[in-house]
Amino acid sequence: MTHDPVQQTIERTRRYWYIDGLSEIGAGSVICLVALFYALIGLLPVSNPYRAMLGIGQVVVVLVGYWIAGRLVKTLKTRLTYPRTGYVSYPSRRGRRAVFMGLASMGTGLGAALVLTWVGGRLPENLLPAISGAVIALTLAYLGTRTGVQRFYLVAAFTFLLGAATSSLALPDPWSNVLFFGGFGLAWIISGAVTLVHYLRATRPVSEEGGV
Amino acid sequence: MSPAKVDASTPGIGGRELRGLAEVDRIVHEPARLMILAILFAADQADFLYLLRETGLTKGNLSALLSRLEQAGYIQIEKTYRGKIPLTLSSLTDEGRRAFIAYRKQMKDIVESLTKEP
Repeated sequence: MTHDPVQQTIERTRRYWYIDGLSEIGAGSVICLVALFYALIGLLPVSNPYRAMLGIGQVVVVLVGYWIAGRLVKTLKTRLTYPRTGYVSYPSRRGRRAVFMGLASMGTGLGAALVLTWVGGRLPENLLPAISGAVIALTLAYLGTRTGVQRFYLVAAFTFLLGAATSSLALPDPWSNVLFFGGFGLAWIISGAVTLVHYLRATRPVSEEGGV
Repeated sequence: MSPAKVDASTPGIGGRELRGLAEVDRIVHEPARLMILAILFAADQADFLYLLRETGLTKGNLSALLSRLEQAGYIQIEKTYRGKIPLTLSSLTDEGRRAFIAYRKQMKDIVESLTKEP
């Protein structure tokens, strides 16, 4: 952690997005949606044609869910956060940088998926949740270090343990995914909800604003 | 013990560093204005309420500082509404961003040269 007050101010401003926990609730809800789809697939008999459709539909619903969650988070921030502690918008990447970052993210994601598939193919299937848990935990720990939001470490540790526990239970497909994604999504939601409650208790809306 | 007097015109005994200090952008150097610029450096836009809470300044002081920064061409102020509530949004201009980065580099160089072993 830096002792430079200017750098601290810059980092605090970047961290402000996470002050209310709303983004975590949004992300957790989408992850729970993934778990719900796995549960629906698990409930249908293998011969049921809707099973395959649910698998394909899962991707679409998650993408739409991600978009809706993003809109909801923005709306809730406008109603809850900005009247209490102020509005901050962050620079959006434009032009070449946006294209580069988009390609870099896609490349990283694809690379991680390929590595996971390659590793997963050589290991017993029941180890996949443990590997996924470890990868997600590392990503969350990185996010915690980057943003300085300490509670991300807690969610990271929980996800790591959840992955290990799911693997050790060796549940049949897709119930291990239901447990892993359901637990991970709930952890995000709980982390966000606790943060939101603390935030709402600690702040009051400001009725009117001054100006220059 | 009284602090040793250093002649800023004499290079070698801290003179160059002190000259560097004398050359820093005074508009950026003032602590409250520096804090505002640091916030706007990290954000695309920030409203008056956020700046008020973060800086701990009074409304009058903050208004005056923002006006000074706007006059210097370092920030841009946009007046708008959120519903019926007036909203004052501030953002860093390209010139302000350049000035902030230059100031940070200048200060870093000064601190590094002062802490360097002779």
